[in-house]
Amino acid sequence: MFIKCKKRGIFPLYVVSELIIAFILFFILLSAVKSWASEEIITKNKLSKDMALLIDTLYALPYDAYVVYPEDTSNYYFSFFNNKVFVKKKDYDVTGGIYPFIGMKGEEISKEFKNPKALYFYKIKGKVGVSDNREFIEDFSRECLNLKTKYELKDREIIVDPDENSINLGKNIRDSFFGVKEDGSSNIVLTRIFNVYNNIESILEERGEKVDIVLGFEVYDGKDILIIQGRSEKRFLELRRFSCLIEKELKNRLEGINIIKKEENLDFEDKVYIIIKIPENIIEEKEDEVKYAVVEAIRLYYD
Amino acid sequence: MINSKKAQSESGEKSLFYIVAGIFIIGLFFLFAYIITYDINVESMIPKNLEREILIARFLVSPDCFVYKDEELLRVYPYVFDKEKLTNERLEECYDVKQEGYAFRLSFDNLKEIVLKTKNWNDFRGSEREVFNIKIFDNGKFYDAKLFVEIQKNE
Repeated sequence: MFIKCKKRGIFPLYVVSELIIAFILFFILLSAVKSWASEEIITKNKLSKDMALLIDTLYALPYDAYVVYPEDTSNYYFSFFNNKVFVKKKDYDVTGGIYPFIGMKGEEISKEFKNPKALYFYKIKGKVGVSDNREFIEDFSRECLNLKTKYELKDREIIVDPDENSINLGKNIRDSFFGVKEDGSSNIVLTRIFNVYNNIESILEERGEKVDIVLGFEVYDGKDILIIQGRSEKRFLELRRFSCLIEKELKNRLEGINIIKKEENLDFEDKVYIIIKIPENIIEEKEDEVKYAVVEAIRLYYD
Repeated sequence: MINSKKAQSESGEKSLFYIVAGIFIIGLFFLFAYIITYDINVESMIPKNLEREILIARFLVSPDCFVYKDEELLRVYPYVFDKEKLTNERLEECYDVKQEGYAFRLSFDNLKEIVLKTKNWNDFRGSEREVFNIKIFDNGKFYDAKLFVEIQKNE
């Protein structure tokens, strides 16, 4: 069979069909190569590997923790099952990223998320998992260690070390504990009364072992409340618990104010040493709320 | 008759052409696929040894594996191995590996009787080795030891 051409004579039909097949093949190959070569497939692979390693890391952690996944996850589907991370663009995606992690026996992570705004990887009460629910993670972060101290409030003393602008707060905290000791006095020892200042070292020298907590207050020109906890190895769980209780109580009483926790190398390694930095406007307007929060945290700590 | 022979010859040449072209095109396709997959793997490569170090950390740090935890204080002691936990059952629980992935064999310089192997460990294959200084907690006492971690990678 032939096709008649005006200028060059006849053109065989099989050449046309070959050309059509060649074009079809060319476009199939081109689209496959394009899909493979796109950055998306690299991103999917990277995400699956990164998440699998993150899960492996959480399994290695000795304590509970959570990680807000820092990359944008809203463009992909994520599945976690059979100890593997799957990252896909849609339900059926042959170029999706897959990477395995090593789980623990009887602890299967089986979750699926479609275009999640954010992903949270966590280890809560020793169980590793993934969630897209921020509230769930925040509830966890507010949960304080359930750690019983060996001591009772009446048997221990707490040094409160206010700066010049928080003397009143320190005094009010001390007054809240009047009657705690058997002789009717408070177990809070202030470093600063009016203009008289006793440094912490001299009080510790005098009272020594009885002192359990050292709590500093500083008023500063900022917006957020800072809770700075020491890095004491000896008392680190108690430090975690006490700073968590203070944070929780402050959050309950001071809505809309940011509370930031930090760790620093502080003195007195054998004491639970915490410094609370309070913005000026809060000490002026909401001193009572801060006092109630701290008093409640101390009570809960010894509960 | 001559025409028919010519047609047969052309048809044979065509078939040969299609076979050669088909093989060439498929070969080209796989070559592309290989190059691209290789590129993807290079682009998303995990830094050398990072994965295995993360997995080894599980043995050195996690109380779910072998590390000693003071249940009263809830304090974990990384690099301190609780002798009571040094069993293969415990290893299988805390490192639930299938055939693929890293395989480990753990042994100790002064606990010759204890050798722990993950399920996918192959005694007949070569391995790399890392040594860690650790402590063993046994009956309320701590003593120094060396931990030998042998590593195999199963693809």
